[in-house]
Amino acid sequence: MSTVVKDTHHDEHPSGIMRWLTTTNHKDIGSLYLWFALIMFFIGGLMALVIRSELFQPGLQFVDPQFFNSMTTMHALVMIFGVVMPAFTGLANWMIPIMIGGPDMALPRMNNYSFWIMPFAFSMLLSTLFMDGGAPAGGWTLYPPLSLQTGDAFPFLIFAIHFMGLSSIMGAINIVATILNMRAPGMTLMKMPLFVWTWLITAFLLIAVMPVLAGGVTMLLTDKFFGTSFFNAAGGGDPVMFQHIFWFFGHPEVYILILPSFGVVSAIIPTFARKPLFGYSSMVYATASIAFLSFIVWAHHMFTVGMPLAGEVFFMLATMLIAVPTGVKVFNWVTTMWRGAMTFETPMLFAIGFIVMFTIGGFSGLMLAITPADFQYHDTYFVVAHFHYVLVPGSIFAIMAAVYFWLPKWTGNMYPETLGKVHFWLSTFFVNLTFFPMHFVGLAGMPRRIPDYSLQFADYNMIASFGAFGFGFAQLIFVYLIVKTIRGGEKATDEVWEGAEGLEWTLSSPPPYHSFNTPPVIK
Amino acid sequence: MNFLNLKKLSLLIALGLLSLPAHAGWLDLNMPKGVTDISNEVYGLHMLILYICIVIGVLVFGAMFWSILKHRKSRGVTPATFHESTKLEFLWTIVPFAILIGMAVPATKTLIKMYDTSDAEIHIKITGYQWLWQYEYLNTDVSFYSKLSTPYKEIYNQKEKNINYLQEVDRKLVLPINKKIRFLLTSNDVLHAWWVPDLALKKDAIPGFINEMAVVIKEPGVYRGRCAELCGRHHGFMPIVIEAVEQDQYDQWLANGGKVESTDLASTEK
Amino acid sequence: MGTVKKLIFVCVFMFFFSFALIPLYNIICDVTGLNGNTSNLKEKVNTFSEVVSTEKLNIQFISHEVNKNKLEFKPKEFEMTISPGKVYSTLYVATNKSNSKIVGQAIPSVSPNEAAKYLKKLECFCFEEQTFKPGEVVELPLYFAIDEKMPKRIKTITLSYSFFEAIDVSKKN
Ligand code: HEM
Ligand SMILES: [Cu+2]
Ligand SMILES: [Cu+2]
Repeated sequence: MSTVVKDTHHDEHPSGIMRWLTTTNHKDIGSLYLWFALIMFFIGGLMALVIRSELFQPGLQFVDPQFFNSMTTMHALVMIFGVVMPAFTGLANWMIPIMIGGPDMALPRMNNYSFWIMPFAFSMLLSTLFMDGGAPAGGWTLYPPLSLQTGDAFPFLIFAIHFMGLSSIMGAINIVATILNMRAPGMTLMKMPLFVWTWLITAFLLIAVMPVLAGGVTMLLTDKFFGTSFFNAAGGGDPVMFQHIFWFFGHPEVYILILPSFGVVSAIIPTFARKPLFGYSSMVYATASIAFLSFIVWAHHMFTVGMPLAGEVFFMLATMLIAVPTGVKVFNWVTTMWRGAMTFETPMLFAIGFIVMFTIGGFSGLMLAITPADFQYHDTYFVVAHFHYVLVPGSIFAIMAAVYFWLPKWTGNMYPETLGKVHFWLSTFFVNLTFFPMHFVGLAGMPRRIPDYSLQFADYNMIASFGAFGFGFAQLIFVYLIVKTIRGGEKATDEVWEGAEGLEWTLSSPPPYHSFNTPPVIK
Repeated sequence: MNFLNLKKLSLLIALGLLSLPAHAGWLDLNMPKGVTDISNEVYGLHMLILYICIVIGVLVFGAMFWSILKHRKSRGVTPATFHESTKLEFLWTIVPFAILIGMAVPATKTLIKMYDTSDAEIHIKITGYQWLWQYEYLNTDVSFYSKLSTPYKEIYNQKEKNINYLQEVDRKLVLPINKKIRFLLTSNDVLHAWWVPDLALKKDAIPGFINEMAVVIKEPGVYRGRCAELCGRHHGFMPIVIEAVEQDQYDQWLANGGKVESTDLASTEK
Repeated sequence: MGTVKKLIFVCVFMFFFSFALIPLYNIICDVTGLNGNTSNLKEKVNTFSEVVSTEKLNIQFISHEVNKNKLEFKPKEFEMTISPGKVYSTLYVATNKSNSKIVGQAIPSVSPNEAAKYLKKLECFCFEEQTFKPGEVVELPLYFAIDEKMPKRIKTITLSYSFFEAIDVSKKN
């Protein structure tokens, strides 16, 4: 690691668009990722509103069922690969080098590439909306044979996924290399902030499973165009095999989408409780065991494919097991708050909202783990409610909490606190209005991925649609608030928050272009 | 705004929400108990795990909100400094673990019963098509397709929707009660899933492969289900309707080549 | 940069691992009958002539006709009562109703899935590709036995064949 950005001539970076195209600075790239995620958040959100408009009432009103299926498919792909993952990578880019007392990321050039692949991959994906045969409509899970019925969009879909995968793998390699090689002297592994720990483990998960997804979709591609029969019974293949490959990637993937938020919340709760995090080392071990277990639970997404009894029981037990370390984390956060001296600034509100609503999602996850009951829940709105609770007031709230928490550090300006609180309360109200009723319609028998439904589901769908529009509009506040804070505002101190601990608060707000050119002293 | 007021406000709104759909009773919002022994067991499991979650939730959130109310800086408290307790950590690893094992035992028992398809007397092959179902009563000549019968005008809002909107078919699957029926499931094109909540049956239909499941229906009636695996454009439009009848009615129906619909049961509509 | 090299190696390894999952899955399926696919291996006859169990069980034969108007493909009899360990035979009948040649293969599936590995086929039309001339009616024989090791709780087995036409790669899409 001798080639790291030591040379000072990097400080004279080009200005204008070239600055952003060529930048190798971890903060610039972090900002790019975050802006990208924000834009995609609104694109994916618009798709969600198309879905909720069609579902506002029974009957077909606005879109063709095929286009509806495209919307659910693209919404999921955009939100997962275009919002949550890049946003976390952006946070990692901004914060990890600072948190470990390093000057920059380990591989700055690759950092630039891994970002710029993303807009390219998503242009490719979104361009399918205008193609013959429409955008992919077989669900984000891409199950064959249905996904093989995709029209001209198919190769674009597959290559877009390849590129997204490539970008995340490059990002992950960079993060692992940074954490393992760039720590300031004295920053031992067990002294690293939990955000760094959770990201280290997430990066390992990414490196292990993104290639598996790449392999799986490559097989889809050859099945469609080159006459192979990996997933085609007629040629001796098995369509269920794809599901095994997909979920071998897919379950670790859902933890990729949540582990960094655990890190964020573990940074925020102690700050505003003015009390050290409870059970630091058990948090690290819990994260590691979640990551490990996530490799042996994948078939809980496939309870209805007709696995042998022993398989069903095994995956049920393993899935229940993974709830234990998840529970440990929640207990630790609550105990951190216990007998603290709390204040409730916006980041803290989002973090508390995260804990409550993520836990609700964890509960429904636990219910889904019970195989006989899952036969009733599977592929209904109950599952939709589950994963939206862990992803929206889970991952997305954690990302927002992180933005409010570190925005004063990034910009040097305080955000308007009252507006932040309004944003939190509106989001919380509407997110529950949208997703809580979905539990009920799911239990009552409404399948997911349908553009029209029978009459008994009407009331709750209408409520959910109202909620979705409310949530969507509430996010405009977020954008306004970010832009306003960047433009100016009350100056932030270096420490920003009274109870803040960690290296990022020892730097000026905003921090210098290169974080720690001389390694800080670690206590 | 004051934190407490907001909490009260959201509580009010939540209560208002719960009372909104006046004509949808609580039962319609929960998993149906169904009409088989197994579906009742599944309902029991569902309620058990739900109650366990609620109890854990009350404890955890209770502690949290207590702390939020009492341990706030504005009340002039000084923060404690503890940050470790092996005892506590051990406790809250082991207790959930024990609860889960306790949960897994009845779940596995039910699962074993669900997997028991032996000694069935009637065998029916179900084939999924884009976008209808085919039912073949094996070893008889009865075989037919069953597809959505809701008129297009209702779907496109040119006509008032009837009460069974999107859950009515041209030919119902007629089954006898109190008899073990085994279904063999496959597909002609893409994946489908055959799901009838009242029977607690859901299984994927996979082209080139067969899956099986069995059921004993306890009560006569009409039971409605849906395709539960995305299968393309009209996935939302391939319902399942079962008419469960007494044995002699079934025999008669079968002897007629499955031709006459036994519509006399429509009054026992579920 | 040792770390990066190692990580790239892991990536490449996992990519190939995803392909290795296919044969792995097939082996697991052969051993456990996971997906109800029967082993395509010809069994030796003498393996099954020794112990004949007194147990009885039912085996059912069904078929899935992908395009009924083109090729009718049906079992000759629906059900047989058999004893494990003994060799039996049955017939499937294929009728080419089209006026062109049909080339393809019958793909077996067994339910319950775990019975698959106990169903031993000594001779089966599904081992090879079949060709049916226009208008031809062909009787296709199947010789099979059930391994006595099959768990006693399985009392009914269904063997299903789907006849798929050979995929002409050049014509596909
Ligand atoms: C307590 C931990 C959790 C348990 C026990 C759990 C369990 C499950 C189960 C059994 C399913 C399959 C349901 C079905 O399709 O029938 C499922 C689906 C899902 N879960 Fe979780 N889950 C947990 C946490 C999470 C987390 C943390 C995330 C992501 C942030 C997540 C995201 C998802 C998603 C996206 C799906 C649906 C995938 C799809 O079919 O499209 N889950 N979960
Ligand atoms: Cu999962
Ligand atoms: Cu469907």
